[in-house]
Amino acid sequence: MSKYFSIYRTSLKQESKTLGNSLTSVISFVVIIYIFQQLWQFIYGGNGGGTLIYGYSVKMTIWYMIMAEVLMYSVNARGTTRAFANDIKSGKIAYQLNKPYNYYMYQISSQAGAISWKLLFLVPTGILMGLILLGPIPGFSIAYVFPLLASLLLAVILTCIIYGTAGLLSFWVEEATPFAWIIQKFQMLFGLFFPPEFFSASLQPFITYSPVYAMMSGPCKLMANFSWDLFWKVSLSQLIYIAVFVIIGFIIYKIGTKKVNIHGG
Amino acid sequence: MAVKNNLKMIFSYFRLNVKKEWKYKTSFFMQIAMMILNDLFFIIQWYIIFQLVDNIGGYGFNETMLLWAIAAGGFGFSHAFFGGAWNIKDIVYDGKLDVFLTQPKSVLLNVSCSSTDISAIGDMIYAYVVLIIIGAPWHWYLLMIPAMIIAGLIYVSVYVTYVGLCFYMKQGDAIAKSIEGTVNKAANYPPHIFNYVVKGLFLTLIPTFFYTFIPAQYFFITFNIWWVLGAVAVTALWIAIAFATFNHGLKKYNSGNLMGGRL
Repeated sequence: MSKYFSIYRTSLKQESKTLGNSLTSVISFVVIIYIFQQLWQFIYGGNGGGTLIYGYSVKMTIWYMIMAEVLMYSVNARGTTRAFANDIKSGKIAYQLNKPYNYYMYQISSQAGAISWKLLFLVPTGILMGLILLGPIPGFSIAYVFPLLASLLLAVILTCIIYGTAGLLSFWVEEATPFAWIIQKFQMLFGLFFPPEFFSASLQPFITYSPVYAMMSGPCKLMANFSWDLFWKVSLSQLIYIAVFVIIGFIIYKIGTKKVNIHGG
Repeated sequence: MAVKNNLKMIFSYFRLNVKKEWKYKTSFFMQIAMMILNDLFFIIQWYIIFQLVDNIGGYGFNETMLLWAIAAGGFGFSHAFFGGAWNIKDIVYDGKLDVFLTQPKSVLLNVSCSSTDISAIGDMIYAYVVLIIIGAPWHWYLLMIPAMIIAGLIYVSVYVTYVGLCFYMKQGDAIAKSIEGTVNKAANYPPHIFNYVVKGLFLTLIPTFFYTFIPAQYFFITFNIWWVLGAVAVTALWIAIAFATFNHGLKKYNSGNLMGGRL
């Protein structure tokens, strides 16, 4: 396990060299939070007053969005899929296969390093924007900080694993990034834009038991309206999906590597 | 004559780039189809939002979808015909511009046209899919062509203007990416949600409104010839700025002394 931690550390160090890049990319994050805040204020009518939509006040909805955007921005979804896809397509993977590590785990550890670096900027920026634009979440306690961070980390790990697994499909198709687009759209539609309660009653159970809930809706709901019951439910779903997608990833990787032709040279 | 020659070159590049991608037919069609599917998801988002409110500052479902259509069409046009512009950062930092410097035509035009993002064709098709969905009148189908061109040219010009910083500093593309992200994201939302300061910004330094809102409002919804001419003038201005900043930056370019060929 220590070798994967070294890979993670190296990636984190590498990312830290791009401080200017990281700071400017926060601008885009700030812009999207601002757009969502303006949009939802408009939908809720002026300052939102005491209006509730499907049990969500304007404050809860926007805090939900802030958490969702932190999750979206921290994982470079297409980049993760492309990292796998490019190595497979270019044949570079052949050089990785004889290394004393598992390539799948190597990529996940490396991506995790990049994600951790981004979170160092996104989390404080998100909190600051929320406090400036909306004020604190009603009923929020300092005791919720640790479980929220744990939920956030499990969510980004799961997201990274899912997009990485999509990248492994490059063993069979020439271009795997379109799969990442579609996964991302499911993630956005059923997780980022709206809490599950905004969908019809018949659709809600599908969302609640889907990976999107573990990746996005669950942690965001915790942010908007924390409860320990919800925390345990979300964490359980995250751990189950991490295990499921790691197994799927390993299976695809194992089958896929048998398809690699090495010509030498 | 020069305009005609440049147009000829742009289309020749596009034809060659498409031909190159056509070799992988499955990937070719999959990229286009997946992009259309990808864009269609946003229709559901706005359908749900317009279940909550009738309109947002006078913009209903159809008008908002029109913004999306123009944004997708403009994005598609820029990435289909000038996809190479998004490689400027790598080309400059890797010192790979030499091969373009020897070309008889404009360096910027050569670099920009050198690559085509095939999925961008899906974006352009999506613009028409949206028109079908909202039951647009027939003349909107024709108007979509100039709207896409204006939006696409503004989009690529803004990106090139800011990515020119790569000639002067490390990670110069970060600002360009942020500006591009802002143009792209803000363009899809009804303009009335923004306050006056932001609106001012979106009409000047970050011309988001010229990318979607002005074409949507004044080409389609309430046709106004003065706004149309204004949009054309602003597009020409941004193109001129893009060329000026790129050519100025070019003087700072350091060759990587790489031997290269373009096949």
